[in-house]
Amino acid sequence: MGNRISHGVEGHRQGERRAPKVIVFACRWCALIGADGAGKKRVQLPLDFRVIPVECAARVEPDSIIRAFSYGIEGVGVLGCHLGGCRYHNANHRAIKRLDLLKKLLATVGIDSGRLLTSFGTGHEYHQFAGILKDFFQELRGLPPLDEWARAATIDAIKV
Amino acid sequence: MTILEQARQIARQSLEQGRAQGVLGLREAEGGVSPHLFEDPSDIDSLVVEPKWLLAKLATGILKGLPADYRLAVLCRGCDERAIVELIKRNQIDGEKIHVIGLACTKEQARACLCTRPYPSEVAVGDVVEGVDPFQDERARTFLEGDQRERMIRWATELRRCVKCYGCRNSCPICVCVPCKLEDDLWVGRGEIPADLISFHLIRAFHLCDTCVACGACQDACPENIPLMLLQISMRASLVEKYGYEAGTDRERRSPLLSDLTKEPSPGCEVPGWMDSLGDSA
Amino acid sequence: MASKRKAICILCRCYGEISDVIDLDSLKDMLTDHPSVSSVEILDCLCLEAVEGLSEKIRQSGTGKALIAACSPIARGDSILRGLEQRGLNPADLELVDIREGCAWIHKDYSKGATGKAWDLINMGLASLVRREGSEDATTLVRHEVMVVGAGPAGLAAAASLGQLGIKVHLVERSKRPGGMLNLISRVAPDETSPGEKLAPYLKEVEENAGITYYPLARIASAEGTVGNFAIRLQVDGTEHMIHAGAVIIATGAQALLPQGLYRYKELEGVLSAIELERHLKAGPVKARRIVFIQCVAARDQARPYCAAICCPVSLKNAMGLRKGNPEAEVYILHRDIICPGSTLEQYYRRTMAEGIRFIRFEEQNPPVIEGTDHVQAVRVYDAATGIMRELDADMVVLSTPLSARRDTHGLARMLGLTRDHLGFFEVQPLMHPVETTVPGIFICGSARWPVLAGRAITQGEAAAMKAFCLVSGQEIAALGLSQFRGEKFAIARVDREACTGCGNCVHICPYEACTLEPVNGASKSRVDPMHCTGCGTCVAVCPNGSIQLPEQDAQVIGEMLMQSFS
Repeated sequence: MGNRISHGVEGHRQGERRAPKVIVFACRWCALIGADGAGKKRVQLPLDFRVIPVECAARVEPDSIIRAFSYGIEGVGVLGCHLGGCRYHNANHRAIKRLDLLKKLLATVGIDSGRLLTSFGTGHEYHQFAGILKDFFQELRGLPPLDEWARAATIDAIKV
Repeated sequence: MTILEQARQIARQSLEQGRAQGVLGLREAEGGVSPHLFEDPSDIDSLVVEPKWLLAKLATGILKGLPADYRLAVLCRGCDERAIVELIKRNQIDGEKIHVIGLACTKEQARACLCTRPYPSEVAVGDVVEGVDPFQDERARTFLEGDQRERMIRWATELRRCVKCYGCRNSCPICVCVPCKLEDDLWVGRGEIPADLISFHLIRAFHLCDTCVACGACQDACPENIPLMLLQISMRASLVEKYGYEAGTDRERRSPLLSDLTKEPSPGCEVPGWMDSLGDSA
Repeated sequence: MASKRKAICILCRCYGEISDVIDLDSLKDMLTDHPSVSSVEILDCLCLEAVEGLSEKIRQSGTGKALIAACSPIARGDSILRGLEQRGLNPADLELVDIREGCAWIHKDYSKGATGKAWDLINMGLASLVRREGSEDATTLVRHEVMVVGAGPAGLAAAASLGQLGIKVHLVERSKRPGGMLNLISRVAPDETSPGEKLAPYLKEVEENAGITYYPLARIASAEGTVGNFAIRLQVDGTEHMIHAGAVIIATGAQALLPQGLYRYKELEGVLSAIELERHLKAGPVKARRIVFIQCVAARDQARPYCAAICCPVSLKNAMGLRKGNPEAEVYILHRDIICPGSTLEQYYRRTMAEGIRFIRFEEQNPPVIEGTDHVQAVRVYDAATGIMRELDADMVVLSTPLSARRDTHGLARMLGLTRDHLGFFEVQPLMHPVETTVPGIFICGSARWPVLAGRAITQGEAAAMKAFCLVSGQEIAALGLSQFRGEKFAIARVDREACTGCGNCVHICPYEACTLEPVNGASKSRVDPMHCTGCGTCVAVCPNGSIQLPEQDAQVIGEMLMQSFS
């Protein structure tokens, strides 16, 4: 999932760094059920994620994902149903294709494409939802903080 | 015959033979070059084909004010024609009213734009030259590949010079929306310069992900010389690789992002079984 | 449009389940200052409060708008909302925020953090509530008539059921006789009844019920309209009929696949397709003495990676039929697996074994080989169970092929807007809607959907009839109520005509083809058909400037929620 590049000394201040903030777009037909299941089972999860329920993962606009990153939200997850399982007649195919392309754009500008988590079909069960989320936080903690992207503008420009 | 002479001859003939009531092209006048609607064959003497200037958006606009039976000929480079095709597909131009006079770009022009397809579908003026692979260009590569952190710094350094002139959006032939999301405070934040590095530029770039025709008008218009074309390159390459799709090359085929995976005729894109989507956790 | 109407916030303690972790009192203090909040109340347990009382409280708070922070929608949340709606509150004025499964229960050791998260979640909910609007419903009158296309077992059962329920039925059939594929077979699997016997009760109903009109030799010339009122032009033997139906049931069946180019079919005499064997069996006892069936012909392979699920029971039935006509006949069934699910078919399988019919399993990569010069003489097969190459004398070989989708229903599909899967069968709504197509008002039964035996075709026909009956028995159909799920649709998409650029993205992406472009003053504008729209929001994500929206959750709401997400 995405590039992992070791950043050496710069860029990663473990001690002072706040936990990454995550937004999860959860489709009501599987991911939201997984989230509900995790709650019922009292699975303890990291604090810093907020769920936005949507009817279908296909509803999720790339603009909202991009905007989330611009607010300093470190990771965005889009959780939908598996291929063949979309309650809205394969609407999720469009989401999958679109989000794959968005990952290309994010990667181009140096935003690790791993910051956009797409999971289609693996969030339905409580342990799956919990597992996906915990893995995502783990992965995000391994990346340099996103606001470094904006701060990079003040670092000495590389001669182009 | 030089390219200029060829262009003038064809333009003149289009008017004289009644194939078109007007030819949209460039005119040299008063020491400069500007777009011009040639309706009188005798004016064609002032027609020029340099520099590269996209006429698609202008054509869309002026057709609205012209009579319903007006046929407009447009002197188009490859990218311009692709833009016209995209506008036809998106119902901004009536394809019946436009007649493209195809102009091929020279090798130097292709290299300057890192253009993969420096020629229109039918070439009436000039000779076809091979396209350029942007991934072979050294400078372009530093923006597309290599060390992620360096790339991030590179892009941030470029984008921070943005003064939000909206030149990129205004000059893009595909951008026609009113209202435009890039003017919405909720999405890009108003009243700040530089524009929010991530939201303004990535929202704009992704809105065009499957309709960008790589004309470079955005880049040409940018007063800060931000290499905006390079934002699109990886996405365009991905669409070609996965779906054999290139914006502006087919008048019928819409973006593959709109269709069901099972319906899209995609070379190299197999219909995954439902088990495949479960990945490693299956 | 953002509303200035303030909302009452109702926070549930859930008898401590929520309040032990989340500090509801401090939330109440902070919320009281919120510009979109009129008042805040903390209740011990929302779901045990009479919904009556709750709805009164909301009404009395002034605006009728309420944000409820309690458990998840799946727990009690949704049912509380439904209860409030039933008591007259506008669903667009209600918002549910999950602070139990979504907060208190998953962060039980972090009271401060959980309270902060609850604050964010409630703010997000308020952002949604402030902009939330109800979708405009659309109603259409419904005709109490149903058209059934195809008079095979599925169509006959559907027509008979509807007729018995008093609905006017137009039963349309391409050929002269009703019965479909049952006209071509000797006996019905697995009960071995004759086709006539199987269809008798349905044929009787069709004949005697004055409400059912049978149109043989019919062609559908055109189809227009939408659910509730389809206008279909029929050509029947030269005459034209105009039919108006509230619903349509597709029962066009499938066709037998002929094993062209396989196992020396058409090359040697004595090598038959299964459907040809049926013809022989109908004529009388078959003279052949050594018959070899080969299963999975042109099925379960690269081109058709599926099991048609009927060829095994059919071969068993035919094997029994052969033995009945000629008790001395030696019958072998060469198979890759015998598929006989369920108890009836399992018992039938055992009966055929007891009868002396022999089964040899072969593997896909080692298919049987047919031997003979003008007439089939033997079949050589590698017995996968024993590892022995067997040579079976044979004077007849029967090739069991699957049913495949009919090739002559393209026109019908196009006229009605039906979609097909990659094998050509008509598609249904995904997951647990076996008789509903993706077009509202059009149902499907029998092999048109997927190969089935006659018994199941009949059951499906009756199921489709019931679905159609539920639709056409009322006076009106409301678009919001046409949801394939329990309850209403989430929303119906709405287009801002002024902003719409006519790009057509929504038209091409909609999984239900609910959007069309209309010419308006020289430009193109999108129009949503409320009957077809399901409120999934796929169109919203590809609209370049947000002209198409779901009133219940428009793009701006998401933007606002993001802004409130981490205070």
